[in-house]
Amino acid sequence: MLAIFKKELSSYFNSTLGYIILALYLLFSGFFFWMICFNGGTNAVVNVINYMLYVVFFLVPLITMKSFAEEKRQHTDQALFTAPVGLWEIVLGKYLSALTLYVMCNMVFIFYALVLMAVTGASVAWGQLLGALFGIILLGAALLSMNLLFSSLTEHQIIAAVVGIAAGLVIMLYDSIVAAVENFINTLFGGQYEAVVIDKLSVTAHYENFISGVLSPVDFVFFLSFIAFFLFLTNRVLDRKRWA
Amino acid sequence: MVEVKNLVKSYGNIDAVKNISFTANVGEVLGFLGPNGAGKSTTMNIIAGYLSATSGTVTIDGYDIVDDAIEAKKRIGYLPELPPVYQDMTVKKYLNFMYELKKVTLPREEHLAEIMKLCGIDAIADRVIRNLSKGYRQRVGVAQALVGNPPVIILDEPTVGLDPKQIIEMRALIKNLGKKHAVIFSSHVLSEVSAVCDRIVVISQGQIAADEATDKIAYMKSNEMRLLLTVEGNSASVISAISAVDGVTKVRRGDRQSDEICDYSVEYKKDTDIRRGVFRALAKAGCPILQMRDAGMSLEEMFLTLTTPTYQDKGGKN
Repeated sequence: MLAIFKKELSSYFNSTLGYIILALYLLFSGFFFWMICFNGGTNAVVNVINYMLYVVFFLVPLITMKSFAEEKRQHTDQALFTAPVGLWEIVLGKYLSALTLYVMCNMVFIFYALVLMAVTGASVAWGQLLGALFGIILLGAALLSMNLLFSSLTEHQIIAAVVGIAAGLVIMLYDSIVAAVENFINTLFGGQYEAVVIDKLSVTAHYENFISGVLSPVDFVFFLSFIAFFLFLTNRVLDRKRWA
Repeated sequence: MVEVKNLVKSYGNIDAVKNISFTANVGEVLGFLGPNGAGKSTTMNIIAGYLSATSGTVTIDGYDIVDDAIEAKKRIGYLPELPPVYQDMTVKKYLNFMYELKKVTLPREEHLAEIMKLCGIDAIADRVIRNLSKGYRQRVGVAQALVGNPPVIILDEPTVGLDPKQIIEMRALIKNLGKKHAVIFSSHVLSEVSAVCDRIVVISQGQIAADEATDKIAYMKSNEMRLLLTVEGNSASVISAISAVDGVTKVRRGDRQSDEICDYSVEYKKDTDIRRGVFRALAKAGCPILQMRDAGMSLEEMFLTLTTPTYQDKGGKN
């Protein structure tokens, strides 16, 4: 697993992809930081993270789009799958390297907080900031696992990225979609129906708790299950290919 | 070392591999011969554990490729049809990655240096694979298969894309590997297979058409025993002289090359050798033999006979 992890991580920085992702992350977060903290004159770095949550949905698919798609296209997957390593090692190696790059991106918020303290002398609410940081990392970790699955389903990284962004939009607008469906059904049948279970699957609802500084085990378990579920599916997709 | 038993691979209704069984041992180069689309690559992918079989088993040194995948894969070095190289790595970095991926415990520096030397890529160790020619990439692919010194080496068409000099080097390398490893190597180039392999498995339409030692295979399918002669002299007396030889069943005159020189085709009974008799008879008749050769099938003819379906087969399929 370590070999794959190392190879993946270094391949982000041997190609332009790693730098592009880092640059985009810095660009967007830097813009929000300037808007909120300097132009807006507040010390709420947390709000920068709040805005970045929307950008994450579009950036995360770029991190994993190559993971399996490119291996398949270059036929290098044949070396991976005939090496004496388990499928889980390959999946986890790829996942953890993508996650590492993503966490690296997010370290920038700590830097922003330090800059703010140094430049304006304002105090920063570290507890809230770390909670939000934890939330955005968990959200990204969840999206990464889902996008890793998309990458394993295709040979074309662009398709993986586009599908990932589309799925990200659905997740982002999940609450509105559920509400709209609720509304539609209620006007259609003239009742007072309310969604059960389905509304609990909202990813956004779960990370909003982190952002507001509430660390509840429920949200934690939700994200971990989400990640485990998609990594499991990725593993199955890769294994299925052998049996098809 | 490698034991393949009743391998079947179906894609929907199409059987890519139909019931293939063979074994390969250490100290042997096994040639896997067949036309394009015969199921060579599929079979090799199954042996290496990249694909799984619909039914049948592959065991490497007693380890099943599905049930004991990791132990079995430790013993295999595999070069697929297209070398599985990472374009953005240098040769050295790539081999180091394969070394780590395969969890090899041999001393790293020495082992990799030895492999690079063996494959003739030590001079390009620091070059990025993207910039290498097809021939060098192929060699890097072979080098990758050798990392960890596995007892079984599977090479899928390793000489494709190489220039003639490289082909000769590659053949020498494969032959050399065959001394200490079990090498399974596929090709559709007949001369190559006969030059390198101790044993040939001919595969056609997903089935084994022949599994024989290289020197025997050319003769196994020839029912016809025929001698081709070019003789100088009056054709009537040549024919009568040859017909009188023991074992000859039929003499036919072929093309006339000049007034006096003519080709003859002589058929004879199986398990007899009429060459000396023909020589003596024609010497006695005063007709010099200018050329004599056995028409036992060449490897090419054998290959075509084994792999071209008969009309009946075609009718049955449609």
